[in-house]
Amino acid sequence: MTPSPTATLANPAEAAARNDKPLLEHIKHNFREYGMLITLVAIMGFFQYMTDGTLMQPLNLTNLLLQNSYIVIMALGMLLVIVAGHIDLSVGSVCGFIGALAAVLMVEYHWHFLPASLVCLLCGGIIGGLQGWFVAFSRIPSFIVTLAGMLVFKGLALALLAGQSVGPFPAEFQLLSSGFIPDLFSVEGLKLTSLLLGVAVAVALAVAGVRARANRVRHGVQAEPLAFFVARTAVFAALLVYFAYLLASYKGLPNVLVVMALLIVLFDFVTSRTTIGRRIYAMGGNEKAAKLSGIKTERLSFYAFINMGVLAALAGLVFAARLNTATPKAGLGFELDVIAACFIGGASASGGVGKVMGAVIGAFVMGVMNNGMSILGIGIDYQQVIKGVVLLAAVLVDVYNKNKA
Amino acid sequence: MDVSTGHPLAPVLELTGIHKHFSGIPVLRDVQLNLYPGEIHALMGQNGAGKSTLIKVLTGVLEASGGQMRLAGQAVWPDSPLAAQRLGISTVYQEVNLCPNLSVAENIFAGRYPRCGIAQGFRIDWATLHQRARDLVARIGLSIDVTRLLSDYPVAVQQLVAIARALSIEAKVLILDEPTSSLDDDEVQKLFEVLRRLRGEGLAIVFVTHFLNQVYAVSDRITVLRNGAWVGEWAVGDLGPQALIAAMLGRELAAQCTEPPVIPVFDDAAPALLEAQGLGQSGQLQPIDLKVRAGEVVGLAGLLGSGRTELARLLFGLQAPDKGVLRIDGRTVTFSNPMDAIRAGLALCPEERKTDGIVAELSVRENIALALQARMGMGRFLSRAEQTAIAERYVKLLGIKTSSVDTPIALLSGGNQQKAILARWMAIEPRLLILDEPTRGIDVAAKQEIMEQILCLAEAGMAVVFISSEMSEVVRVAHRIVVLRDRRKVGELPAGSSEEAVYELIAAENA
Amino acid sequence: MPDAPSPSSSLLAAALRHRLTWPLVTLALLLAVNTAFNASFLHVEWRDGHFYGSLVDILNRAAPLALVSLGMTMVIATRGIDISVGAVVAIAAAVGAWMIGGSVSGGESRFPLPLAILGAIGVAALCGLWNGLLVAKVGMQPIIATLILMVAGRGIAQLITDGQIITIYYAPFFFLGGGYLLGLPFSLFVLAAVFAGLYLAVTRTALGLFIQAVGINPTAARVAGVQSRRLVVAAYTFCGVCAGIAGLLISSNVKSADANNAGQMLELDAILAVTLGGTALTGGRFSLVGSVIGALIIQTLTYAIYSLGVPPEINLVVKAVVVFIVMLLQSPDFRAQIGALVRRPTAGGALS
Repeated sequence: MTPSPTATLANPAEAAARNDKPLLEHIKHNFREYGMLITLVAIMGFFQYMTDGTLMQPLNLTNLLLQNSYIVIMALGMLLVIVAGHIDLSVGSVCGFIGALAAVLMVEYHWHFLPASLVCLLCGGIIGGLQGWFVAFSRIPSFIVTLAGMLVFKGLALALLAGQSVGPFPAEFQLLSSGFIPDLFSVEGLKLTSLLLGVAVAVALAVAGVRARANRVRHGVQAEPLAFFVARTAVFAALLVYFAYLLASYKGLPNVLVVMALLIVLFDFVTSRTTIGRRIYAMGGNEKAAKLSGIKTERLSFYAFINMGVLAALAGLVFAARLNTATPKAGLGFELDVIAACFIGGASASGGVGKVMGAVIGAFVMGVMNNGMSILGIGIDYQQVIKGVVLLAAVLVDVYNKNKA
Repeated sequence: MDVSTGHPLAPVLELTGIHKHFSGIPVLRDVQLNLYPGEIHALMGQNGAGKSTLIKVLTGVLEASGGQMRLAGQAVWPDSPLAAQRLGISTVYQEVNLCPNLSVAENIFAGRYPRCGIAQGFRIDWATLHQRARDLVARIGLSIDVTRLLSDYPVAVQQLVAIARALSIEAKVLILDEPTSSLDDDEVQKLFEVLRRLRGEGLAIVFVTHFLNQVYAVSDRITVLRNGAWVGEWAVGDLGPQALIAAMLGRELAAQCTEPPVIPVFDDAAPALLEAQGLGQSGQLQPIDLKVRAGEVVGLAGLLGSGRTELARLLFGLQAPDKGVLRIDGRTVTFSNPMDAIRAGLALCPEERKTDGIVAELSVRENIALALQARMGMGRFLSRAEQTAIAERYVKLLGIKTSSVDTPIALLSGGNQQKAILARWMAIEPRLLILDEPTRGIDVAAKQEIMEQILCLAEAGMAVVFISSEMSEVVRVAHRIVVLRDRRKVGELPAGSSEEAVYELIAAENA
Repeated sequence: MPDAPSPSSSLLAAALRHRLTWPLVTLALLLAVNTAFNASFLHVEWRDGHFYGSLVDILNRAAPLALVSLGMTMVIATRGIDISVGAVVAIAAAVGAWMIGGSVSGGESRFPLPLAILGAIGVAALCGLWNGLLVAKVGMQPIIATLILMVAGRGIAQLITDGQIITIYYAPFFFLGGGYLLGLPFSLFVLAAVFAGLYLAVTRTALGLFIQAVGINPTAARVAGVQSRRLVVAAYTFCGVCAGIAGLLISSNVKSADANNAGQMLELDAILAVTLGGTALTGGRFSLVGSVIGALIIQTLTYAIYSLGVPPEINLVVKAVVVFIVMLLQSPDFRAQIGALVRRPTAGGALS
């Protein structure tokens, strides 16, 4: 068992002196968090080597992002659902259903893409709300409700499409998935805007990190060892700029990446800094205690499902735009990928634990593996087996941690 | 401030005439409690005394059927735990009711975050939250990093965090429900320091416990409940340990004891069937020696929480001891699960029949036959007729009131359920039967029947370890009385000892 | 005080309260609906040396589902769930097909048929054992533990078939899922054998008692000496075996092993069948007969929808709605909500 910090009835001065933790202890403590990130980097490095550099080629990198965009978007919602102590098995079917709805509205009824998309998102919210109602207020296990949902919406998608594939979508809608941010300065072979944007983001993150650390130090809170912090920030910034550069050498930053980034920032903010986000964590950790604190746990579950519905709808739109058609098979199996992403990223099956960045990293771990294995020509069968193994490893770690406590 | 005379201050909490009944069965009768600011008030009583019911009424979990509650002079009636909290009544439970996945600071302010940002809306002001948490934690003399996860800290610290949380809600009354059960001596001392500090600030603290020495170490006044009735309220200096025990246990009306108690005679030279040497488990039970011979009834006497059930569980293999050795018929044994113990000839009728005893939806017949069937294995199946025969035999023997042996056991009354579980263990005809509170919740006549059963079994050669909080019972049937207190053995008494002798032994100031 | 109830009404009351009543009524209703739309639905004739008709069809197709439902019943009774059965069906089918081989001549198989069958069932048993160990020894939640095999299982099945759909030409194998014995589909006999074995085990040995005890109150069962861990592992292993046999029946029926599609959604159908048959998802008391009736209900439902000319997608919707309503009715909170709604109009009056 990790040595617990002694809670002494000593003076605060002693505590302040223990400000900079030894490096090893810091790494051990945050192992799970950094572990995932290191794993992702390691996997990327591994496949980069095995594919003779194909993985990081700008074209492939862009494809990688596009292929995993909808999984990441849904993982953001699924994380909240899992943290709240529930699960949602219907996201794949809802994804497909909304894609079908979008196709019918835009292609068959010639709606403009904007109102059609809004209606789709609203529909997703309503679907989520329906399921959330039964889970939160009628107290039916989420597994059952969303299982039923999975069947219903799979069927409804089929019915809506009358068994056909419907498309193509209007050009503006396709931009959602296949478009890139406009380039304001034209430089030969390099989308400068994208690169500058990447640099700007890297700088902003670094500055934010520095300020946060200064804040912690000022309040006498234990912070990372200075050397470690500098190294980490520098490495992150460099990696970000590098990726921006890679993308800029192809077509620039994809629109969907901007959407993803905005959502990630939003959900990271919500889960770490807002009352509603932290309430969900409290509820997942100990529902009774949360209720005693005046937290309205049923309502929170309800909101988590509505949120999941909207995100699944958005993912449905992204997926349909990418394929440029809505097919009856859309969404098949997505829920497994999304749930696996959350668990690989550190969410706990019992609720209350899980980070947004973890889920995103988890999604990309699987995405990179899928992509790398595809490039290497490894069959989809092996890919599924390996997916299962990674998921197993992630859950075993979770169980081990829980039993250790 | 001298609280034992004159009460210079007005009470912060007054409960008068509290009645509570469940479907006509009274659980609390005319109970009162007076709590003054700046005191630690111990609430004491045995199982079934009504302590937990009173606390539930206080904290809004249950609604009283009658009576009055005044908080700082105002009549109040909390209808939910949240309402009680808002009134200023804060409770810290035995199982820390916090969120282990959140940081210390976040636990303290869960649901009541200090906010910042647009219109003081949804953004949490972490800086303020952490600072306030630090202040609170310092106020109780704790020096920890409030940004670390609660689960990083041991239970003792978590309980102090729960107290800090209570303070953050500006509690007027702090109720501590058995806070020391999972703490070791050092941690208990730290907790007491904190309590004394808070008392000095004027907080009123209700301290529910069953550890005698802790009551005398830290409380100012004591209220005793027995069988749902209020027995009395004393300053701690006015009530010695023996008097306290007498008040808690009282004297059961000897409705069943019209004959002079029969002092069983026992052959001391017989070899030990079970011998425990230094058997213990860190944190649960200090090393204990115990010898039980065939045909002997060994009574385990002690107050609630003295470690009797823990000892029973160690003997039966429900928990693994980390100290000492257990011998059956002279051979050292280790039990890794109950089946090992059953095969060695042991049986344990557990204390908590609801969680460890009855299998609710199964019939009486199936419940009675369960352990016997488990021992026989899956292959040799007792047919329905055989099960019925066994069940009916014990139904008759123990007087179990049920319309048929096929009734689901959940439909039986508590007492009859207890008898059925007892029947389950008697059915395997063990060599040593451990009975943990077998007469709890059973009517007087039935108690008598069970006591006679125990004597019968012993005469037939079965060894019995008999745990009961009813001292009169223990004293009546035991060949030997092993006395436990505060998780260790304090002595043994021979057959025929009086109840007073047992109380004396428990109350004695032992090192 | 009312008169003592007459014998016939008390019999009726007892019948209504019996757990199998509602499943049987549902089945009867569905059969009636089918007959209403298709006059020849109940028509069974003797043709080509065996019984022939819609009913026979339903029975044949329901057999694999019923098998998996039996296994699922055992798992659910121990308070668990197994969502990997579909994947295990695919794996078993793949192993069987591989061991038989796809030689077009159809005259020989790579391994002797009995060995192939044993191999397929053995691998399926291993899958079940894996699940059981994860749940009982490692302590994972059942849905997560079986999710892992659900994700990886299809991949494993694909690996065995090398990504192809293996078409089987070996005639003796077809007998399993498509052959007839004494005029009835052979698959029914397989189901009957497994059912009989399980039923005997549950009623003639202490298995039924122990599983119920573990499902209702695992702590009390342990104190009473029941070896709960072993039982849980055995339940999942048995579920795997059932899925394996079902996989062989299915692949024998379609004369191929499709790693991708075999057993798709089977786990959902099985859970639904078990619930319809009266076993609660919270564990404890279970009904083997109920689960078989539940499987028949689902198959008849599918048939009814098909014969109604309704597009196949609505099948899923109807199924989901049915699951849902059953769940709602089983949920005490929902019943309370409905009860409150129903009781509201009767305000005041002579109610004491």
